Order: sequence, then C-alpha cells, then structure tokens
Amino acid sequence: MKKRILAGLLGIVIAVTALSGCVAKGGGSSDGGGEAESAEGGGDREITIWCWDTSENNQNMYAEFTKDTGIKVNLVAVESKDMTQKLQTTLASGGEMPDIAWLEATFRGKLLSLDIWEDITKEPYNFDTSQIMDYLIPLETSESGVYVGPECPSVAGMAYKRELAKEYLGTDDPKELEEMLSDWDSFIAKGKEVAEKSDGKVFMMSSLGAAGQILKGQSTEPFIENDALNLEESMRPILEKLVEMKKAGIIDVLDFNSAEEGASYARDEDIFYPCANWSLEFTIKSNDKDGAGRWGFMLPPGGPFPWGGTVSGVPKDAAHKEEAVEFLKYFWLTDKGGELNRDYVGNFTSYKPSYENEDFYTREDEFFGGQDVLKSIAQDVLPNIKGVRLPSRYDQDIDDVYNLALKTINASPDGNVSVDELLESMTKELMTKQPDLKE
Amino acid sequence: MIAPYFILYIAFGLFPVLFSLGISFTSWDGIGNAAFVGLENYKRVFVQDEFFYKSLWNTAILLGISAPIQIILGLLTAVFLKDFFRRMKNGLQLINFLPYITTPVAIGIIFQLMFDWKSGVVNAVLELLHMDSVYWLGNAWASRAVVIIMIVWKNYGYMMIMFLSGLAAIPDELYEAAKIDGAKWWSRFTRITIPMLRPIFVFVIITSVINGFKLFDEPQLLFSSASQPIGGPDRAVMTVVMRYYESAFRSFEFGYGSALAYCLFMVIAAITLLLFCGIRGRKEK
Repeated sequence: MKKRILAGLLGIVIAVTALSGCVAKGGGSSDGGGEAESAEGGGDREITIWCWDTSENNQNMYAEFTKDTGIKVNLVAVESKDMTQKLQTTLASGGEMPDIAWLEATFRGKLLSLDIWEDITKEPYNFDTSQIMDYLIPLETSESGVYVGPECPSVAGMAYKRELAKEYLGTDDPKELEEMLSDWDSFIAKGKEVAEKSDGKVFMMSSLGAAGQILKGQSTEPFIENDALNLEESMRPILEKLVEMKKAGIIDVLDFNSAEEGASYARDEDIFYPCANWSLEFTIKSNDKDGAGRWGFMLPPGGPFPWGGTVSGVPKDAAHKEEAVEFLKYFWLTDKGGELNRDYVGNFTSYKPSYENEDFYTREDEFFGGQDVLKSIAQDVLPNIKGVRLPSRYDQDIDDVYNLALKTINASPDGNVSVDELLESMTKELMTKQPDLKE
Repeated sequence: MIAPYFILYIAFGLFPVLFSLGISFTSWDGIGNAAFVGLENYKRVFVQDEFFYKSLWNTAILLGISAPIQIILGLLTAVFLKDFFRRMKNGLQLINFLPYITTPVAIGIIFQLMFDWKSGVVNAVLELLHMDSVYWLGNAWASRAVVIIMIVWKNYGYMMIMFLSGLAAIPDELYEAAKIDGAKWWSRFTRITIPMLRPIFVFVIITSVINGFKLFDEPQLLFSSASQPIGGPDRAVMTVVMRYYESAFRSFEFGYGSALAYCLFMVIAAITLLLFCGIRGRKEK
C-alpha cells in the first residue's frame, strides 16, 4: 500500500514539475523561450515586451522611459520568425501574453489578420494617429480596420562602393550617380558597360533578390486583391525587369540574404546594394567592418522605396495595456521619443512634427565618406516614398513563390526564362497552397 | 512504480496524438474556434494538394538513394575497422561517429557555404579539375544530391556503430575455421559476416525507412536563410514533414497540418508493414 502511495505521489510530483513549464508565470518577467532582461530603473508598474533586440542600447533607451514615467520595461527575446508561433502557443495554453509584441514586415500580414490586437486609437487609449506619418498608417492597420500600433519608418535608397563607382562609372558623387542612373533602363545600359570594362568580373548588384527588393518596393500594385490573384499586373513587370537584367549579365549570381552575399560587402565585385535606414548599422557596417570611407548613399533608379518595418502591437489579453500604450505614445508621439530612437538605436521616428525641423536628423558619417546619410534619408528618401503595398495574410506565400521564381531565373545561365511560364507556375503554386484564392 | 511513466505518457504522448487526430477533422488557425469540417482536410490532401504527392516523391527519392549508401558505407566502415584497423579502432570509430552528434544547424550552414555557387569549396575543386562549377542550391537534382550527401555523411557513423555491435556478437571461431578451410577475406565477408548480421540489417533498414520518411532537418536547414524558397529549387527537396510544418506553423492551418501528419503516418505504417511482410516471407522460405 505504502509503495502505491509513494508511486502515486512521485507521479504527481513529476507531472506537476513537467507541466509547470507549460503554465504561465504570474507577474514574472520571463515567459520562457527567451532571455528576459529588465531596463534599469524604479517604479511599481511594468510592461513586458517580446522583441528581438535586447541589446544594451535598446535597454538604455527604455531606461530613459522608466526614469520619466516610473514604468519598468522587461524585454523578452523572441526571434521575429518565431513570434507568431509563440503568440499562438501562449494563447492556446492560456499563458501570459506580452504587453507589446514586435511584428516584423514579413510576417505582419498574417499576424495583423489575427483577431488578437487591441485598437489603440479607441478609448481609453486614444493614440492619436493624425501625428503619425500618413504612409505608415495602412501598414499598421489590419484588414478589418484595427489600428494595431506604430512602427519606425523603414525606407530605403541604394548604397554603393565609392572606389568601384569611380573606376567603372567615372564618379562617386551621389547626385551625379543619381542623374546617370535615374531609371532602370539607364541602370541596365551602364551595367553592360561595367561588365565589358571589367571583363565580366564586376556587377551592378550582388543578387537578383537585391534588385528585386527595390523593384518590389517601388510598386504598390497588390499581388492579391479581394482574394483574387493579381500577378499579371503586379508581378509581371518585376519579373520582366529581372529577366532583362539577367540577360544583360549585370547581376552577380549570389543568393539574396545569404552568408555569401553578406561577405560580398567587403569584396570588390558588386557595386550597388539596396540600403534601408536599418541597413546602415545592421548590414553594411557589420558586413564590411574595415569599410570606413568606402561607401556612398544615393537614391536608386526609379526612386526610394519602403523596406521592412516592425509594428508594435498590444494584445487584447495583455495585462498592462494602458501602460503599454503610454510607452508607445512616449516613443512614437513625442520629439523626445524620436531623439531617443535616433541617438540610442539609430531609428527614425514616425512622429510627423519632428521632420519640420531640418536639423533633427543630421550626422556626417565617416563610414560613408563624410556623407550626411541621416539627412539624406529624412529629406530625400522619406518625403519621396510614393506609396506602399498593403500587408496581406498571403504575404508569406507570395514571398515563397517569388523566391522560387528568383531561383529559376538565377539558375538559367543566359536568362533565357519565360516570364509567362514563371507566372503560370506561381499561380499554380498559390492555388495549391491557398485553395480559397481565385485566379 | 510505473505510474510516473504512464502520467508522462498520457500528458506528452497519448494526449497530443488524440488531440491532433481530433483537430485533423477541423479548420483551426490555432487561435479562434475550431470548425468541424469532417473529412474535408483528408480529401484536400489526396485530391487537391499536389505538394503532398510531390513531397512524397521527393522523400522517396532521397530515402531510396541515401539509405542504401549509408547502410553499405556503415557496414564497410565497421568491417574495415574490425578487420584492418584494430589498433586505431577507437579513434577512427569516434571520428566516423562525430557527424551524427554534430548540431544540425551547424551542418546546414557548413553545407550552404561548401556548396555555394560562387565561392564554395566544392566548386573550387571542380574548377581546379577544369570542370564547370555547379549551382548546387539552385538546380533541382543538384540540391537533392547535396541533401543526400548531408544525410549519408551524418548517418553512416550511426550505421557503423550498429554493425560494430553486430560484428562483436559473431564468434571468432567461425572466422578461424573458415581461414583454416582456406576462405579468403571476401568469402568470409559474404558467407559469414553478412548472413550473421541479418538481424542488424532488418533493424537498420526499417529504422532508415521510418527516419527517412520523417526527414526534415537537412533540407530545411540547407534552405533556411530568409530569401530561400521552402523546399529549394522547384521544391525538389520538400519532404512530407516540411509540407506538414509549412501548413501548420507557417500558414497556421493546424487542422490541415494534422491531417497531413496522419496521412504521413498511414504511409509509414503501410511501408513498414510491407517491409515486415517481405522480410518474414524471405525468412519462411
């Protein structure tokens, strides 16, 4: 009998211990699966943010908020690609939701479509979107009309290697280059000259994906409209231009976002790269550590474009929603928040009034040969964004079939690929993946 | 004393199995309410989902090529270690087994770099031999070849260990008697070693088939960077588990993903049964 009781007790202990990992902690700062860190400072109120940047800079920036408001900030590291799964499993298990979750551009369409977000423009939060840059608002609003939360503007131009530009294009001056490469046709024509001059060793861009990123960003035509495919209007022009570039032999054969493409930043084979405001620190400077003075920044052929972006959403089930919105207002609806974002993490603000002061964003960057890239982004790039493609719950599927098409174009040695066949294959794949879509 | 086992089994084994069977008859995104759809998900798998058949075909190709190679390589390594490298056996055994315990993520990155089109070491060797470089990760059959190399490289060490344990159980007297009768190494290998290793062969073939149908890590990691299509060029290395993972955890179709998982279960069960019948049939003969 004693043995049975002991076995039963042991079983319960093991089960409780094991299952406790699945249950949320009440009021704890960590929620499993990520490292929890706390921005320093006092105060009784606190919010938890699921994000992928728990760097010291970010913590120090949030410490300023804590100092001013008394609200502590707990950062829980969650990878952008894991965010959806983490939110889902937490909801399914009845665990503790974060007060703010970061929603990255690639997954934003799907995440916004989930009915789990608080509309922070409503009572009692009253987040004033009239002060937010107009082009961002549709990106932060779900298809059902819920304004989920703000984000920093993520916009892009083009970075280039000065030495290569001077050698093969005759100048490294950004304005002269912008004039020379004002549209894609002149970009391709110049690319052919570069290929000839360098005996096919130097390319205009590192990958088809890099060129495609700019082309995709410059068009606003939706890929899917009212649950019907719109690839003919939206995707055909992009693919045709990419095939043309491949045929011209002006694009290197690297895979976009691959480790090899990262290494190419420090080599002297590829001249131009798409460059968002976040690319300066996270891509260019980190991939070309000894590249000070080697780089320049300009507007790409066809103009600047939006690239990336991370919305800060407040879940309906969050425990400290009002504090979370106070946090968002502090960082996205004030000059002070803009200054902190600029100085600590190099982000731009979405707060319109900050841009009225021309000197709000200015800093000569030695890495870019003393060029004032911040000012260029604030004054030349941001005001010239023509529009955005709205997020859709099918974004990941579109990205996947597009990446497959890029592989096919890249794999053909002479660019002899039929765009009709690519579109046909994309349509077939999308219809298989999402049977509810209409052709 | 077996209560803890049963409690853990019910919590982490039986419950998920029954729960996923239940949701395979629903349409559920993991957040809202699940809507009962009957056999609709299964109908979609078998009637509409071309990816399911393609992934099944891919899995069969990868398994059909990699399993015999890794078994033969494992067997030969084990026999060579036993017969010719007795003094260095332990060290060589460890070296051959190391890939099996290497972190899959590291393997994925290493193979991505090795087989890079422009600066990979494999193409550098091909160029040294005056051959054209290959876009390994951009062509369907080339990427399948890379995945097969990854699987074989990783698993043959495990096969070797299995065969070594089998070889240890074969009495030395058999070999000595054969030697006295004038049998050469090849005869001893084919007439004694292979027949005596029959139970090990049965085990490694069946586990290779089951593990082969569960193939996920290698192809997934090879094409894991942000701008790579799922399943590689022309979806040539998309396996059934990758298709299931994509449906459940990228498209958030948990109901459909569960139906795919059960269909895979049915395929594995059917093939394992056939294998068992085949092996038993030969044994009875």
